[in-house]
Amino acid sequence: MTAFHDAFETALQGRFDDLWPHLAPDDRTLGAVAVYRNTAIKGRIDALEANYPTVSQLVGSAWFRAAAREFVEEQPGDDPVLAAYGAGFPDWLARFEPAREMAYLAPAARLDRAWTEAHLAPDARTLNARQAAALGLALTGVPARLHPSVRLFWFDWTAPSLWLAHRYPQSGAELAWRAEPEGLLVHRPDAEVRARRLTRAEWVFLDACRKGRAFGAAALSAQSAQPGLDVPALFAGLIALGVFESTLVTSPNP
Amino acid sequence: MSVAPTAGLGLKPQHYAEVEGQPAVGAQDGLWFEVHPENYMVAGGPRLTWLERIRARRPLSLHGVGLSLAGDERPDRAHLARFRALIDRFEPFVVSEHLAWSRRGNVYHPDLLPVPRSREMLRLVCDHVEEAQDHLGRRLLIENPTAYLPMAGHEWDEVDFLVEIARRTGCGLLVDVNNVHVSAANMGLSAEAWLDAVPGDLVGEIHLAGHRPDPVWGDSLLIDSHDAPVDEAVWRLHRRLVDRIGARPTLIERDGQVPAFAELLAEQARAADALAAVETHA
Repeated sequence: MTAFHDAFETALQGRFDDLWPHLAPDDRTLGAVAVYRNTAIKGRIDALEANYPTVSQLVGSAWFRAAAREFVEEQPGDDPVLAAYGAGFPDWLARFEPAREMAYLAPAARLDRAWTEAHLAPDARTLNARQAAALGLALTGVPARLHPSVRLFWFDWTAPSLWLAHRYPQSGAELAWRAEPEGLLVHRPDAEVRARRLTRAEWVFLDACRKGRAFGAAALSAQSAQPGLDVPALFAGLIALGVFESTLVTSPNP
Repeated sequence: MSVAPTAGLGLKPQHYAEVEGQPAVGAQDGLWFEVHPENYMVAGGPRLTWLERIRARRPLSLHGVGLSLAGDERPDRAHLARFRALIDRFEPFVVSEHLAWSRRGNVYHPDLLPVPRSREMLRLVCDHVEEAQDHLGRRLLIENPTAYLPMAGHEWDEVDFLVEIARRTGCGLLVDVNNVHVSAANMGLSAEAWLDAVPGDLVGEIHLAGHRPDPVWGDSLLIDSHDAPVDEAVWRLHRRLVDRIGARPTLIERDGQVPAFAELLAEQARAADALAAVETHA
């Protein structure tokens, strides 16, 4: 700890008195201290806006940056890896009084965060149909393992459609906000982050997988959520999406 | 295939595709790229894939902004480990950091903050540079910062302070000629005297960038904004430095108002020409 670093850090928070004895002040000194203060704040706000593009689109950049200024002072972050900055923003936004009228904002922030997490997640191989077929019936007893990029959501409102319409306009999702349950999968099976609506049965199946259940148990859960469900078709569809990790599935002995 | 690095560019994500479309050798022999390792300290995903592809074609430099070597806390071990992993994976031809601090008490300030050039700071910086070099397994080049604030506690001129750090730790120097120009203008000093005093054998890399007058204070406070082409005065200073010490890998930095890749390549070509002219003289 040095007195200089203490004083400088206090000046970055807007209180300059302690720093004065360390300076040889001239008429530009306050302006120069402001350069450092502004650079640090702008760096955080830029990073937050880059990581929450849908929120920024929904409220406009000016509103976003004004709100972000309050967030970055409360949660300045401790990591130079700014691509991951702002994990606490969705919860903060949910409590942020001026955003109270915009109930869709915090859910949109959660989904933007999911996109970032999927983007930065570890690489892993996905389970393919051939591997699944090779396991045959044994597969039902294998504990499911989701790809590390997978993020799953179930909302009581149409947050997934609203978010998809902004972030993936080519998806044709409806720009709507109404009380209608919707699920969403965000993941990165290869180079690109993908997002897709989930049916209730798909969500129940994947939620069971997320909890480490065996594939067979996940199938039973999905079936009780939707009696008469074509489980093999659902499973094949999810495999084709690349949501399962292949590493835990060892090939059967030749 | 391997050509010695001459003039390089800071690699921006919006130019990944164009960089990949470039011939590996040919028109821009000697072209290399520099990135901030902090932008690649991620578990997986496309960022690392892009960097691998680019590294397969061109030499790479890792230029850290987060080690906080002039801080009053020891360099973060986890950060050093992530930095080391990138060095091992991407085998950069040079690794650099700043004479600045950015981290304290679990807060990261996305900025390069200054210190007075005092005995106390010299000891701290040297300890941290040595610790970083030990963990990274590489000699670091340390970059001169931009000065905005006149400070009371300086016991060394900037160039002498950097040379003393290099002498004590074995590190080299990255001379940011734009920072020299901006600092000299802001502090009322001579950029030429600074550049004439730096020992050539310590200089491993040079940075060039654009700057702007402060919106409030105008030309009496220049800002190292990295959002404009390299200023003619900075080009002249670059020429003065390399005429004396010889060619060094020279980077064009542009972080804001990033133009088309072709425009950056034109600046890169100008730097490469300046370096080639020096080589011919030598």
